[in-house]
Amino acid sequence: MSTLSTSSSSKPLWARYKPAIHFRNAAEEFDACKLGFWLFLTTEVLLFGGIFCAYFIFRTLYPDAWKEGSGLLDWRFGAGNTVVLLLSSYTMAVSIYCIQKDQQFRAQLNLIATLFFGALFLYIKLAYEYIPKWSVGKRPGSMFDYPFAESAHLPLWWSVYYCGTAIHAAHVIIGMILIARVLWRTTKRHYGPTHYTMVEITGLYWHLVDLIWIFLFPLLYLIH
Amino acid sequence: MSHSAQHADAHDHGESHSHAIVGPGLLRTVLAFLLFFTVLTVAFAQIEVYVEHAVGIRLPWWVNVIGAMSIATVKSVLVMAYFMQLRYDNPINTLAMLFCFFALGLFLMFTGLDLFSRGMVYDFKSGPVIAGGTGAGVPGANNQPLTQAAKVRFKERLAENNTREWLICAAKVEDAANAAAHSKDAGAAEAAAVLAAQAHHMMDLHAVMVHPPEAGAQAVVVRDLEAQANTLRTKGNAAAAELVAAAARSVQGIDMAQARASYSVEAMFDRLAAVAHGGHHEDHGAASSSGNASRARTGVTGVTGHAAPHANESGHGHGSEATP
Amino acid sequence: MAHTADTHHGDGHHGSYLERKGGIIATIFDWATTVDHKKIGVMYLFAILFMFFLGGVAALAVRYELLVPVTIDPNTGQVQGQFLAALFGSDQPTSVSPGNNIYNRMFTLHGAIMVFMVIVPSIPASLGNFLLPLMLGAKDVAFPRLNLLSWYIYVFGSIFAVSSIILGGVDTGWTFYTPYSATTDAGHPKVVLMVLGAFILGFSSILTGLNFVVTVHKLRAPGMGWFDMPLFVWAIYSSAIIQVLATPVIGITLLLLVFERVLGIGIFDPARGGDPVLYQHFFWFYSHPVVYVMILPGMGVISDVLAVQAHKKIFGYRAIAFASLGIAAVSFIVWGHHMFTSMSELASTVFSALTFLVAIPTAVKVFNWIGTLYKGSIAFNTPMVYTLMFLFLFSIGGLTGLPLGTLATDLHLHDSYFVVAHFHYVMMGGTIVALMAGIHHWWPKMFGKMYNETAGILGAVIVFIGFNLTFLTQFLLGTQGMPRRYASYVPEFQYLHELSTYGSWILLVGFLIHLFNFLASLAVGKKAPANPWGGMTMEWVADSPPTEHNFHGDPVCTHGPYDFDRVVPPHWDPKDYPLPAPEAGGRPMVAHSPDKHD
Repeated sequence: MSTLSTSSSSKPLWARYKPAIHFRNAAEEFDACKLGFWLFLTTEVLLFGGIFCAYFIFRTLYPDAWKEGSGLLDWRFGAGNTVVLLLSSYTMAVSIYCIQKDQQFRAQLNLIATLFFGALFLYIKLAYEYIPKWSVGKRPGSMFDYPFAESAHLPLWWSVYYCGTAIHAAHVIIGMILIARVLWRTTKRHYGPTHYTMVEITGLYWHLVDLIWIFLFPLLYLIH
Repeated sequence: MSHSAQHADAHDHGESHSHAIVGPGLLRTVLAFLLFFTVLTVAFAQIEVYVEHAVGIRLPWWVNVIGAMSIATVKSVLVMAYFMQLRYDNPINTLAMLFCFFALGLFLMFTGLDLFSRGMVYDFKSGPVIAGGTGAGVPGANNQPLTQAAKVRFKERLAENNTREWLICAAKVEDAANAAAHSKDAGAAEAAAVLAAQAHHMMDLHAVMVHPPEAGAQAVVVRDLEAQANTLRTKGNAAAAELVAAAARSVQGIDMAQARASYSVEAMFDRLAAVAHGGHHEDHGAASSSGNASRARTGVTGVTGHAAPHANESGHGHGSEATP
Repeated sequence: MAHTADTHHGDGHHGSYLERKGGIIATIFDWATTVDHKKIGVMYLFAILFMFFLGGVAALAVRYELLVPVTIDPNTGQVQGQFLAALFGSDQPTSVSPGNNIYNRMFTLHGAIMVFMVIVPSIPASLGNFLLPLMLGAKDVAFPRLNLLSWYIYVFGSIFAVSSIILGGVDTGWTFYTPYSATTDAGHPKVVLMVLGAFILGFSSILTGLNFVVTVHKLRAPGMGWFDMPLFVWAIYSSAIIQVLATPVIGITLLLLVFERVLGIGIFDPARGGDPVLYQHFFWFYSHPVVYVMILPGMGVISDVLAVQAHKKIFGYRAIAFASLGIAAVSFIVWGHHMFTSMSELASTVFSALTFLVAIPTAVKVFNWIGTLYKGSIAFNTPMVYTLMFLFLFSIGGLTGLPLGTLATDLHLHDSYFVVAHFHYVMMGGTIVALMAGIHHWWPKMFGKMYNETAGILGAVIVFIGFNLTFLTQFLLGTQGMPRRYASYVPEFQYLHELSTYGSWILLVGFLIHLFNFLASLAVGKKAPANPWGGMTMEWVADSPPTEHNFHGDPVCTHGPYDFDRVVPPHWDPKDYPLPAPEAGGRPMVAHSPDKHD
């Protein structure tokens, strides 16, 4: 909805931004975008609500399987990933602050750091959790092949584990794509103190990814 | 219906207070709190495990759940209030989120209401409905529960010749490691560490399932152990090197034909299970960072009779997937 | 309801939004890339009407199959009476199952298309998109590009779902209940395609919903408070909230179903420790609220059409507005009444009690509508005929919901034709009838042409007769024990089934009359005035059809949406419509009030 005037002004792009014509002013557009995005975030929470519900139901029905399952996860990788995501959330928030203060370079550094932490999260998830687990048969449902299960419902635990973490990982990837786009546009001076809606919204999305993990981590790794 | 005048200015001007600026100082403080709560929630869970193992008090399940969930709630409130700036934002956004959590609560509550009250009135409705299946009817499971089918498949694998020879050698190495760990001789601790690591590596699920052993295990293992002995020797630890070399010789000396005949799949299965399960309940933190000596120590805790072929030796620090 | 502050303001967009931009290619490109809510609304309308046609064909096929019971000739062993099997090539079969399979695929197709691709998006996406900004005095919805995206997602999802027909059709029923949906046609992608289609359509629904919520919050014209909004907006707002809060759950449900089917994760499979009823909880947590996404906008249409065509201030404005929100709230706690026969007794009892709460806000609305009609100056035209039809059919649909919400009677009526008739009275007699009322009511606004009133009323009456013949008979069938989703029946039911099938043909005739009426209107219809019915809300201030940015200048709200007692509607021309006499002491006012300049 951006209309960027093409006048040969020397002002950076963000200063030349004009809100879409159906809004009265830029502040109202910003507010509307934020409300719209918060509504979108509610849909994301409820999407994960299905996973949480499945967890809640089967944990209560099969406590033994859940105890055994969380025992098969190494909390150090979960905690490490929590720290990584918290740090990335912090750098994301700082980059918004930098944009608000027109510190473009610092903002870019923080966005790059956020991307790095996102990638690190995925690396830990993949290299230390998914691949080693999957290869020794800790798999969901019919693909289950782990020989040392004690509870007969352990495959169901892995179903919930993989569905929850994989959908979360998909959100991490989408968030990283959004951040990369913001980073690219930052180098073109699209965002500044008076116009940074997309940075803010990308930040909200990234924090939601963190928020979901804040709940997934204790549910999967700590509760037994 | 009312008329417009009294509402006229309700929303005319966009609320500009959503342009809040949250400074890095506050963000750092919030981050510090979030990291603190992360440590706290991990510590809480670990203390519970410790209390159960050391003191023998089994805390009720809800202590764990309520502790972890309340800390997670505090953390999420911090993230939403400061990182996501809800505290400085138009309250409608907070309202949207609250509605969402309310809807989620209804979803969990009413679904649970059904799932957890089956058979409260009529007994015949409980039983199979609650207990659920175990995958026995699923194609490929041979009319066994999925977990049982996985066991059977694994035991078939254990019975294969190459795997069998490999694991016979591994058992020998593990026995040598345990013997060294019990010994007071010079260099025994170091040798035990090396041998235990070797045994663990060989009995790891990866060695059996992901990279199935090839023929001629005996020679491979002897070569590996002799290489380890040489490494120790160059480090100047001749006593330990000699113990490892002795283990290599004892592997060399296995009469494979006879060992294969007396090999028991069940016993080996139990032994591998002990390796896989070991270290998950105790020794979480120590194994990852500390050196070989502490590995050796943990390697022998809980050994009751290592002479028995499938004694319940406790395995190593990490879970089997710690090394990718 | 409004006047425009400055007719000279603006940037020269004074042409109708329907004006062509150059040649045919340029026009198609213009429509395909438009962010104008009006064009998107019209594109939705045509897409939805096309899907309605597809779903209708499937419905006719289902009814055709049920015209006579299937019999097996005792002498030759040949199956007789399977019309669909004969239609699709297998003459004189000796087994009933090929024909039954075709029947199963047909009713699944009918259900899935009608629910996911027609009724859910019908009123919000077509009329809602077109009217919401106009009614609020806005230039567009809050996120116009998102709006276009949601249309493309709708088309994409529909193609996904319909492509499963090309691959042979899906026979799970539109609810995709496990274990059918997890096991039927194993290894074949068509069920996955259909389920993913519904998953994608959910995104379209979410995006439309959040767009509308933000539009209502942020883009109301100056002077328009919450209680100056037309009731159609209230209804759209309430249903948009449901769309946002409920649709993600169907998203995860269908995703888990795809995982279940492709990877065998076992969450919904009792053989692996899962629970098929859990699937039903997941499914109905979305699909029950969505029943109100289907009906609430219909109620909004009725509120507006009723007040305007009766030229009377609506009775109980706030009651109707809050009833919309009340229905939205209650919709989240009654989903269990779809599963009385499979849930625990405790949950069934609780859900049954909660279900009756729905009756309160619904009855509030119906009584207020009837109160509005009382002493109104009623114009007896097609929208009004459809509105009266709605009151009649929806009341039957609502009241027959009570025995279904009662545990004891539901155990008898569950999965019978009684249920089929009940939800057709609500969904078709409610939503589709309201959609027809709305399309006729706003047709002059959308396309700037009048339709033929005689043909419209004739079509409406034929639809009414056909509808009741089709579905009233099904109440009787249901109470007598005819189960739903069966391809055949005992011969004793034949005359009721026959009547029902004849009714479906009459329905077809009625809708064809409307179709030709619309086409004739587009081709040779009389030019519509800006305010043909004497409406009071802001869309009647705009031209017919509206200009590209809706209004000349920025409109200001100066009076309530239904102030027929004190304000003369905008663009009033006594030739166009009769105007009620103002109440004693009142004086017709001109809509332009210069003191409210911005």
